[in-house]
Amino acid sequence: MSFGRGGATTAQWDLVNSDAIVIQGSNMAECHPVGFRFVMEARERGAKIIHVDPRFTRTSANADIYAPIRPGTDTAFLGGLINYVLQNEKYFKEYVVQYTNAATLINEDFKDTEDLEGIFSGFDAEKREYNTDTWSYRGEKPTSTNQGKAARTGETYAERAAKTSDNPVPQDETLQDPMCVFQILKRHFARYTPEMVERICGTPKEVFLQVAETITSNSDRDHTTAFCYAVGWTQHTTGVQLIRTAAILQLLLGNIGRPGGGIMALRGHAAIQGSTDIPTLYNLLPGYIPMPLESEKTLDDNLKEYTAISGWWKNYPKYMISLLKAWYGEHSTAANEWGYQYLPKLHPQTDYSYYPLFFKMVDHKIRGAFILGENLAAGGPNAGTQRKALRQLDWMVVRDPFLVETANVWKMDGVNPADVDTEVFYMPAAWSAEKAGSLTNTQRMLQWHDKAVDPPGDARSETHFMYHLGKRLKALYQDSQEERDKPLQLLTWDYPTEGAIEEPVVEAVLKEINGWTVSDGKPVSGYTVLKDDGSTACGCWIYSGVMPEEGKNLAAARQRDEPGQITNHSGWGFAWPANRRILYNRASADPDGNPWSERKRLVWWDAATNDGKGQWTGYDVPDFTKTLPPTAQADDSGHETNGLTGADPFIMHADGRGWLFAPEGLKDGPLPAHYEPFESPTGNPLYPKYRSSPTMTTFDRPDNPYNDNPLHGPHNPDYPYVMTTYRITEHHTSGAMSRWVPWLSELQPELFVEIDPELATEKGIAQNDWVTVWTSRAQVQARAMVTNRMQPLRIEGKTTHVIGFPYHFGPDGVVTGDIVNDLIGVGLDPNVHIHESKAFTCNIRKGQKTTGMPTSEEHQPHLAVPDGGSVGRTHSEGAEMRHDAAAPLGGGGDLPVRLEAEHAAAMQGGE
Amino acid sequence: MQKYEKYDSPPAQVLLPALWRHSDTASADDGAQPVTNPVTYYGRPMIHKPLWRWYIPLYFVLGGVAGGAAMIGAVAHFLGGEKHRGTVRDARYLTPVIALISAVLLIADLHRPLRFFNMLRVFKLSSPLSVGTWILTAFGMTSGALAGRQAAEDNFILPRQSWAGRLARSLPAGPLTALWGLLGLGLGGYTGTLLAVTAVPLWAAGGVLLGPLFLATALASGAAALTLMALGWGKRGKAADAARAQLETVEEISALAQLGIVAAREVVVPARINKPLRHGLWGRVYQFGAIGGGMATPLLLRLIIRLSGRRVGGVISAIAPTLALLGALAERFAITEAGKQSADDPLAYQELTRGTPGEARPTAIEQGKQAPQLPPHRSHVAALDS
Amino acid sequence: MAKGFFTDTTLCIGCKACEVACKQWNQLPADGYKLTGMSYDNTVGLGATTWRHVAFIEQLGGQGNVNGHQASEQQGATAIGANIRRNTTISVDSVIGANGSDGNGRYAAVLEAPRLVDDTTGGFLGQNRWLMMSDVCKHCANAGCLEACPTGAIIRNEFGDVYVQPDICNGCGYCTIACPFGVIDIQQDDGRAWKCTLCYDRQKDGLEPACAKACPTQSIQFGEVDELRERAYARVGMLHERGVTDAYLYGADENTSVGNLNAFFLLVDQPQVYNLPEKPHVPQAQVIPAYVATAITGLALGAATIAAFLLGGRRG
Ligand SMILES: Nc1nc2c(c(=O)[nH]1)N[C@H]1C(S)=C(S)[C@@H](COP(=O)(O)OP(=O)(O)OC[C@H]3O[C@@H](n4cnc5c(=O)[nH]c(N)nc54)[C@H](O)[C@@H]3O)O[C@H]1N2
Ligand SMILES: Nc1nc2c(c(=O)[nH]1)N[C@H]1C(S)=C(S)[C@@H](COP(=O)(O)OP(=O)(O)OC[C@H]3O[C@@H](n4cnc5c(=O)[nH]c(N)nc54)[C@H](O)[C@@H]3O)O[C@H]1N2
Ligand code: SF4
Ligand code: SF4
Ligand code: SF4
Ligand code: SF4
Ligand code: SF4
Ligand SMILES: [Mo]
Repeated sequence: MSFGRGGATTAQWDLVNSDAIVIQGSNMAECHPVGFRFVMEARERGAKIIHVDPRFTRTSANADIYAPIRPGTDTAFLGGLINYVLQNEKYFKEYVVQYTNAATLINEDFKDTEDLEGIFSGFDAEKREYNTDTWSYRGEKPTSTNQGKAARTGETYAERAAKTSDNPVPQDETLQDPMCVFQILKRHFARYTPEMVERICGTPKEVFLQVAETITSNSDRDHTTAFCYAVGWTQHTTGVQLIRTAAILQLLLGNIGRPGGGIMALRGHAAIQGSTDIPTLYNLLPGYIPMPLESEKTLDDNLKEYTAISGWWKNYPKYMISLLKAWYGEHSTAANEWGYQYLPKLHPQTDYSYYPLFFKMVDHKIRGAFILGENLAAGGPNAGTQRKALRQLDWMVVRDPFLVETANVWKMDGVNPADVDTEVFYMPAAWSAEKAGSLTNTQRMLQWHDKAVDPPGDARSETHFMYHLGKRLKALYQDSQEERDKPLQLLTWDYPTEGAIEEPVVEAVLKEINGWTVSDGKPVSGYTVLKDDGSTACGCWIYSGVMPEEGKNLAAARQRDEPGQITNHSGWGFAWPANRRILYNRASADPDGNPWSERKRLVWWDAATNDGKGQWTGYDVPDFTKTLPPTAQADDSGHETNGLTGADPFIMHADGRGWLFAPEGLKDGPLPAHYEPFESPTGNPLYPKYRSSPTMTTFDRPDNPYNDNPLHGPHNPDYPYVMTTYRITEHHTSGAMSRWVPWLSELQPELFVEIDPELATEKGIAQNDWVTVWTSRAQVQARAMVTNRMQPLRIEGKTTHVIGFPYHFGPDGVVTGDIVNDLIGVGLDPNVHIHESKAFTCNIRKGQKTTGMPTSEEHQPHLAVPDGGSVGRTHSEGAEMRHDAAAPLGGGGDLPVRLEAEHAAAMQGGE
Repeated sequence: MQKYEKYDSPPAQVLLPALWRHSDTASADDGAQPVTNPVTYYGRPMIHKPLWRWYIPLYFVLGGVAGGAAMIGAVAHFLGGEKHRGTVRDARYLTPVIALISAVLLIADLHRPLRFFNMLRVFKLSSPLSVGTWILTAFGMTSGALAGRQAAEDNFILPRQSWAGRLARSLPAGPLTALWGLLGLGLGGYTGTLLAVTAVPLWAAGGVLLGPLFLATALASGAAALTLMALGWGKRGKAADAARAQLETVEEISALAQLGIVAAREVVVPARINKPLRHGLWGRVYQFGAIGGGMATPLLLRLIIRLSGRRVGGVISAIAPTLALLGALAERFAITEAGKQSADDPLAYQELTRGTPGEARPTAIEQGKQAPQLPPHRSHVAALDS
Repeated sequence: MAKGFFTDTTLCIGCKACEVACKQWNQLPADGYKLTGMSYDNTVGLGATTWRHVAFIEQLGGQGNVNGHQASEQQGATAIGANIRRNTTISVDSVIGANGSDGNGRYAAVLEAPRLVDDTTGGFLGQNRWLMMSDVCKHCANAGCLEACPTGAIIRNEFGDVYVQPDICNGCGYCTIACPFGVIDIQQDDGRAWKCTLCYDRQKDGLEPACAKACPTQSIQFGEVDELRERAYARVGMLHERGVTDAYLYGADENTSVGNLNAFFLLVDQPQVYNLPEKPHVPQAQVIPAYVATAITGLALGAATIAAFLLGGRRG
């Protein structure tokens, strides 16, 4: 959104080059222990490590500065930092003026939260939606993008829509115009003072100022600061804006595209990045191509809608048509719009995302489901209702290496199995070590892994399952005359297979992803050679280049750097796009193409090479047209400018700039504003009229009760404590993969709840006592872990206790415990529909629960041989990450839902 | 949460009160700092405690009896003359039987009993267990040989004139007996060193005294056993009385020695370490059973009888040796079990392993100075190397 | 040329990868499933089936933790055996230098020392530490277990490490009480003594031990002990330079009967905090005195017995 691509801007190893690292919204040492080695290395080299977290964790233990914060208030904290930067003129002026939209003038009608007491102009209180017309750049036509389209979540194509005309965007490079982004920003954050931060977040002012000073003094020509976050930021009703706040801060400090800078999105499951790149999402096609809407009746409509005036998305037709060509092969011709009509189209007003689907399931509007590599019986908020939903299905297919709780819902919660009509098909899945494929990790890097052993018994890989399911479906429908079965009949579905079990050859899938030239079937060298005339086919344009020649699989490349040598490990795996490791790295050089400083040299213009014509060079693949000189003008002929100049580093954006102000694409405002979580113990001192986000998505249903009125109601004193949920190193997510492994289970054998000693004293709770925590949804019992690592915070003058729960337990396994997710209500970010599981309210008492959620009595047989392999399913993370179920599989009738292991698609190569 | 204070029964400072005087502040007297602010790891033990079952302390008792009996038997053989014929015979018969039982007990306590013979692969002076194994083996063979010889002489089980009987009688009694006595000494004493040469605080602290204590107890219990046997045979007459009197003298001497060593131990073993022998069940067993009942009372009884100058009948004479034997039992069990408790007590182990700053290793400050200057940049985490 | 470990607790992130890797490589069973309440430590200590163990010590707000463990307030010379100064959070403050490249013309942050200030986050937790330490068999120069073993099952192998030969051990258990660090232990259902082998099998194949291999932060470093010792001293120097003057090596420069440890540690608090003895003794240091004392007693008692026989008869 802020920069243009849905991935971490940097790679974990680059953290060693940071001068300060802020880890906020992540418990990196516990959740990304291997990546944390780079933070440790940075610390060894003298970098300052800052951890901002409600709890003192294993990350804090290794940090130089630990700043406590109340869950759900990071926007205020980061906003405070932005204000500090602006007030004290600590921003990187040249960078800000040249590389961000700070100087851009905004529509005069735009009104800020400061003007409207907490909302931006265009708010429709009835629908709780914004009309974003007033947010656009001055002189640009307001576009429609996401407005009023429930099916459009997120930034799908915002970056190309910001500019609708060829006119240059009006700028005021002096940054003085009151309607320039810079001045708007300044006004917007002016009240985010250190005192306000302390009031809202509970972070002591001195600590906050220490953080501010550390960051600002480590961000300039010679220094860079990096931010690392994960789901401590994303899983909020304001998750996207929260990350936007960090993006704004990093842009102001000039930390994007530079070594040791960036925003490191630490993604969850092994291929979670891959599962958004080649998405298991309903609203995207591979490579962040939006899923067409019903309104885009023809391919031309579609191309018109999504092809940008300027910026990289000018190339949209090449990618879309190559994709269609890959899927429909010979049936994809210019005459039939390359098969565009075979694609499913979304109804603009329908929300196909995960939670709406679930509630539809509860209401028996969805009849069947495929659940691949996800343990939603324990893994997601309001898990009790999710289990109820599954019990309403007629049938469900669960594919998992373990007989997980999800496959056992028919006998959980004390229900009588005779009363459950769901027919459950449990299909054993192969582990990662039992199949070959690639995982796209958090640094957008594809890493190939070979099969180590054959899967046991009937266990099969996802590729196998999908491929053979597809084949059977095709066989089933081959004689159908129905028009609606055409897409299935014409789909290219001819991967070669090997071995007795006819396992599809995954390299063949990878080749399709990479793309090939239709005439000779040879792999293309990269996405720059893709064409919009049907002469190339490509399954996912951003991955193009991973197999530049037949048999050359760069995902499997394993060339090490020399010890001590500082490069970007370019010979190891393949990072999209085009093996770039640090995105927007054009910004590591000044507008003239010279490094900002010797110390922070990364990519620069080398005028002497290339026969004197010059080219971009450096320690990384330049994220820029290689031969486009810094002096190039937008309309320079003879160069691939895409309408941008040689000094516009954010090449995906139509204006080539980093967005401090997002004129397009967001549903809850062009700038971030602090709103409380949907359940909070306090009001909103910044915008008293709007306690929680006015646009967040809520579900007012009896099976999803809220502790307070989520919008403006006063705080409910029955639930006085803030609760947050998180991971611990010893277990994995819903616990399905770790609770069966004795070696892990012994390390954390019981569900515990972390509470501060003051609260413990108040409630008479001693170490290891049973305690019960409850919300309006459920109650959960656990052992008390009384520790100074939890500390009460002063919020608005009131002592506020934070209670912390790991969420890894469930009723099955060698160790068991209550399902923490039963406690949580569903409230979502409006942009990406991520749930808020990180901040809500609860109550606590000593003792075991009295009634409440029963756990399944019979324990499962011990299925697992301890196994190192662990890849799996995740919902989503990151603002640029989505949390959605996929589109209908077949046609007609009741929709079966496919809730798929996101990694699976990426690993096996998609459809 | 497990609390540290495990031994909370009140101290039983009944006997020899002077020895208890410094009680729990013993460590302060040693010139080091008192244990005021203990740092432990959640009160968890710092070492493993012995896994021995009851077989082992029982073996300690029996081995002591056998060792003591052999020592006395040997002296009696050389110096006891005619009147001690019975003593020698008793000892010769008693010791191999006990040796056999001991071996069974020892082997039974092994967690892999069938591998007992691996003990005989090596002889290690550093390991009292190894030394003891060899002592017991040799002792068993020697006492067995002597018993065989005796049996042949007595025409008991082994017919005098059979080839085996003849062979047995041809064994050289003198050297064998000398060896037997010496091995008996070893058997009686090594068990104490076996305990001393461990990390268990209660055994290791003042450990040099454990061998002597065990040996004195061995002698006392050996003498007691032989006295009881003599009484059991019911022989009367001057010679028998004289023989018994000599055995009783040995008992008295060893009881005195026991008491002396116990007292010395109390002085040298820090209170924290000795705690399980002062408080709680095993503290009582030790104080009342071992010291009071098994050492002091028999000695007192004898003194009283001796001072009164009267002769006493068999049953009354049996009281003292019985007490001595029970005392040996109490002592071995109390020390073994108390040892286990002290092994569980991290503060006891800290007391044992106390050192002054810089004593065990250079202090942090010294190490900092000693450390060579760091090369300009040497990354420690080889993040980039892998 | 002994091989061993340098375990640097200042680099430990408490991930327990070492513990799990050890169990996996050596196929050790789990110890049971019980929450201890001892911070994040639920395996409690080293034993027959836990050859690596990560200890967690919460020292937050200078209050010690709530579990009954008290962080010693008066270290320095006053507490038992303390040889280090108390409580510097590894808090590196102020801004690092701007002095450019690392000499190769490449970008690199350059270390600038010393930059420690007193913990300015004091408004909150005060001086906060959550110490983590991965413990293991020390492979002592004078190993109590080895000396004690009556079967010769425990040997010093060609890598200079203390190794238990499982085919010889008869489960006498003597080694378990002869170890001054509470390491080696009998596995109840198998009846033999077990402990870290220093991955003898892996070393034989030229592989580094599983725990060191798994450690993500190089808190566990494997190598030639002499070389490690040098590196460790350099590390101590660097930490001191940065103001972490609590840092010291445990087991690298020992003046005890145990001698140096092939697996030694960098600690930042007194040894007892990590459940290590301040001044370990190898039990066998007592063996000669104990024998001698017993022998002397034997002589005395023997003489007394002889005397009793020579003189005691008169009474009758
Ligand atoms: N060992 C282990 N590693 C994992 C996983 C696992 O289950 N186990 N899961 C993987 C997956 S799927 C993911 S998505 C990642 C997640 O990685 P992380 O996001 O790092 O994991 P969490 O523990 O969910 O949350 C991180 C921290 O956020 C804090 N927090 C909660 N609310 C707030 C808030 O409002 N603001 C701030 N600043 N902090 C807050 C919590 O206290 C917690 O310490 O980890 C991955 N790695
Ligand atoms: N309260 C609360 N709730 C949360 C979060 C939170 O922080 N707090 N975090 C959220 C996040 S970020 C995530 S990612 C989710 C995770 O929630 P889930 O994805 O529901 O949980 P997992 O336990 O990771 O489930 C993955 C499943 O995939 C299976 N699996 C592993 N490998 C394969 C394979 O190759 N093929 C197939 N078919 N199956 C496989 C595993 O056995 C396991 O059952 O939880 C979310 N829920
Ligand atoms: S679980 Fe895998 S991805 Fe996560 S830190 Fe460990 S090695 Fe890395
Ligand atoms: S004495 Fe203990 S620490 Fe030393 S080598 Fe033996 S088991 Fe390891
Ligand atoms: S238990 Fe085994 S290794 Fe230990 S001392 Fe006995 S025989 Fe040796
Ligand atoms: S060296 Fe091997 S046996 Fe020893 S702790 Fe490490 S992994 Fe375990
Ligand atoms: S020593 Fe290494 S592997 Fe073990 S817990 Fe510490 S960081 Fe993790
Ligand atoms: Mo995740």
